[in-house]
Amino acid sequence: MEFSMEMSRRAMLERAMLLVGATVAVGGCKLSPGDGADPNFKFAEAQYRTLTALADTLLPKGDSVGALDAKAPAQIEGLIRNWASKETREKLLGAIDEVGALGEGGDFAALDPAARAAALKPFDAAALENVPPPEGVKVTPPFSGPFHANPGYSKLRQLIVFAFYYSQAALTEELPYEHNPGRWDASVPVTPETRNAGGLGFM
Amino acid sequence: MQFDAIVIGSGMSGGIAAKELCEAGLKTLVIERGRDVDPTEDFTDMKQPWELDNLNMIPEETLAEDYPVQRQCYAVNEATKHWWVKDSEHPYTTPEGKPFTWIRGYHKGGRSIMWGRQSYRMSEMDFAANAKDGHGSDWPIRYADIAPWYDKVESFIGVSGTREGLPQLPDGEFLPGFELNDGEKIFKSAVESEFPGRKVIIGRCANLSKAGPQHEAQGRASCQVRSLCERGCSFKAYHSSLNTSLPAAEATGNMTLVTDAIAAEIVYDPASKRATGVRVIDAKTKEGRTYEAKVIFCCASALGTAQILLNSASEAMPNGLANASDQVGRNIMDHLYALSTAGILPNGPDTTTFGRRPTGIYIPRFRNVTEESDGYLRGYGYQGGASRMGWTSSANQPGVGEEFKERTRRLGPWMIYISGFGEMLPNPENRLTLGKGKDNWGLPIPHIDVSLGPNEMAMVGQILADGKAMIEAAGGQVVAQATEPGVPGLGIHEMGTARMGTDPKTSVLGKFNQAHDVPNLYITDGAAMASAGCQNPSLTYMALSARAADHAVQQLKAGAFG
Repeated sequence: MEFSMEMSRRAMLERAMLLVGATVAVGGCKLSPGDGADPNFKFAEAQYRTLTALADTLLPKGDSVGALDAKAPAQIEGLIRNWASKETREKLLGAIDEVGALGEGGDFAALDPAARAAALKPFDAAALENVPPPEGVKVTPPFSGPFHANPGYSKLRQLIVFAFYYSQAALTEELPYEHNPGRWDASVPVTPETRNAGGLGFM
Repeated sequence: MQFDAIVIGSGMSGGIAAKELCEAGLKTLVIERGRDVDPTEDFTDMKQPWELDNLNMIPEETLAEDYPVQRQCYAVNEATKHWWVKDSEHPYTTPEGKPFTWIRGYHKGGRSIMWGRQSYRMSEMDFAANAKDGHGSDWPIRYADIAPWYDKVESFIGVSGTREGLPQLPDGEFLPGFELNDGEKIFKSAVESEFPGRKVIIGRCANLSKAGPQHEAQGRASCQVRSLCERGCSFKAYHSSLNTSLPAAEATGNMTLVTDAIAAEIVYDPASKRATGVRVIDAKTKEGRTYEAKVIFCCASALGTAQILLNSASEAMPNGLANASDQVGRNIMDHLYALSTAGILPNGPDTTTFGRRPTGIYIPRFRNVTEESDGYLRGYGYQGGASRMGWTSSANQPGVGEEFKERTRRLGPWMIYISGFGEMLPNPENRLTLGKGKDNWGLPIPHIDVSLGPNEMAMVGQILADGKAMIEAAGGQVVAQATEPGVPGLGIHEMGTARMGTDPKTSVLGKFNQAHDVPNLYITDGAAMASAGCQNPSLTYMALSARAADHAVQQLKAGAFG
C-alpha cells in the first residue's frame, strides 16, 4: 500500500483517542465571537481572491465537490473574525500574501488552474517540510508537532482542508459520514470503492 | 431546612449515593456547586459536524485566558466547552516547577457527563497491596466485601465487557462486549502467543452495547456507536448521573436537588460529636445558608472533598473536620498517564470497520502478577486499540489538487496504539492544603503539591519497553512513543485525600466509609481510596457509595445517629 510512514502526530492523537472510545472534535462553519476576535475583520479584495484561488487549487471540485462548494474562503474569513488570536491572524494573512505572489507575474489568482497547481505544489511541499521545534517550545512526544517550515501557510492550509472535510458538501459527496451509525461492524471488507470515513478529526 | 441525608456533589459518587438513599426512603438533599443542566440545550450530540462553531475549536485567546489547564484534556472543544470550568474563575496554586493538572466540571452530574466510561473492578490483590508491601494504610475491606456492590452497580449502570477469569481483573455483570476489530485480533493473537501471561481484551465500558429491560425502563437505548459521549447522550446510552442515578433518585419523590450551592463547610456539633449540616454559599448571590440532616455524604471529588473538610476546621477540630489523623488532603494519587506507543501494521488485513465504537482494547496488569517487574512495586495496564489511519493522516501531508483528494479518500494502514496506566503509591507529601488567598466566594484557594515518586518513575521505562515489544510482536513498526509521563492530574483519576483504613491514627475513614472522628459523615468519592490500583477507578467509587449508603440507612434505622 502506498502510504507515507511519516504520520502526522495530530492524526495519531486523533486515532488514539478514538481507539479508547474518546470523542474527538469535529466541527463546521457556524461562527461565534470569542475573546481577542476581530468582529470587523474583512479580507481585502486581493487577499480574498488569493484565498479563493488557493482553496480551489488545493481542493478542486473535480468529479465531486471542492473547497468552494464548502465556502471555505468565507469560513476562513469567519475564523479570522471569531477564532484566531491576533498572532494567528497575522500569520494567516502573511501566508495569503506569500501565496498571492506565487507564479509567473506574481499574481497567483490570475493564473489558470494548471499554472496555479504547478506554482503551488513545490511551495506546499517545502512549507510542510518537518523542522525541529522552535526554540523554547517544550516537546512532549508523541503528541507534539509536527513543526513545519512555514507555520503560517501550514495553519492556513489546515484550516482550508478541515473547513472542506467538515462541511456538509464533503460529508455528503466526498467522504461517507454517518452521524448515528447505530451499530458496530468489526470487520468490513475493503473494496476499490471504499473510502475513509469522514467527520472525525482533530485540530 | 431539615433532611434525613445530605449528599454533597451530584457526580459519579454523589449520584449513586443519592439513588440508594432515596430508594431506601430517606428524604435526601443533593447539593451541587455548579449550574443546572438542561439536556435539550446542553447536549450537543445531535449537531452535525458542519453545525458546530469555529470548526469545533474554542477561540484561541479564550482558550489561553480561561482554559489554560482544561485545554490539556483531549475532550475539550467548542462542542463541550460548557462542561469545563474556566480556570480563570476557579484558581488553584502549585509549587514552582511542580504542575498539577486539575480537570473539572461544575454542573449537575459533574464529570460523570464527560468521563471515559472505562469500568473495571479492583481485585483482591489491589485491596491487599498496602498490607503486603507496607505503603499507605491497609484497606479495611477486601474484594469479597465490595463484590456484591460491584454487581449491583454494574447491573444498574450497564457495563459491556467479556468474562475473562483473571484474578487481577475480576469479571462482573456484563452486557455483551463490543467485538475486537481485525487489527486488534491480530494484535491479541500475537501478544497472547508471545507473552503467555498477558491478555488483550475489549475495554469494559459503561455503554449499553445492548440495553436490557431494566435500562429501557429507565428510558435508555442501546449505544448508537457514535463516540460523541462527552457531548451528552440523548439516547442515555452511557452511564452518567444525568442519565441514570439522579433520575432514579428523583423518581422516588425523596430527592431535593439544589444547584449553584457551593459547599463551604460541614457543620460539626462537638456536644453530640456529629455533623449537623452543610453551610453553602450561593454561587450567584454569594449569600450563605445552612441545610441540616442526620447523615451527610461528601462526594465532592477527591480534591473538592479535601477542600471542604479542611475548610470545616473548628475549635473542636482545628486541623479540619475528621482530621485527627492529619491525613486529610494527603496521599493524592492519579495514574501514570500518556505513556503511549504507536505503531503501524504494514501487513494488516484488508478490512476496515463501521461505526465509532465507544471503547478500545485493554491489557490487564501483568507485571508483579504473571511476570516480574524491573524492581518496582505494583504495576500497570494498557488502554488502546487498532484502526485504519483515517483521512486526517493524509490531510496534513503535502499535496495539491485531485491527487491530494484521491489520496485522502484512500484508507491508510492499520495503526496500533497502546498507552500505559501505572499505579501511583500513596505518599503523604502529595497533598492539598488551603492557601491564604480567597476565591470569588471568599473560600481559600487550594494549593496542590504532587509529584511522581521513585516507584512510579521506575515503572516508566518498562511501560514503554513492554508497549514497544507487544506492538513489534504483532509485526508492527513503532513510529511514535512517549518519553515521559504526563503531568500528574491529567489521568483525571485523582484520589486518596481522605483514605480508608483500619487505624484511626493513620486514616480518615473506616470500613464503611464512615469518618472515624464523625460517624454520621460518609465520604465515598475518590478521596476514600487507600490505594489506586491501575484500573480506572469510577466503578469502585460507585460501589463504595452504594455500600456506604446501605450502611448509613441501617445505622439510621438503628438510631445510631440520634
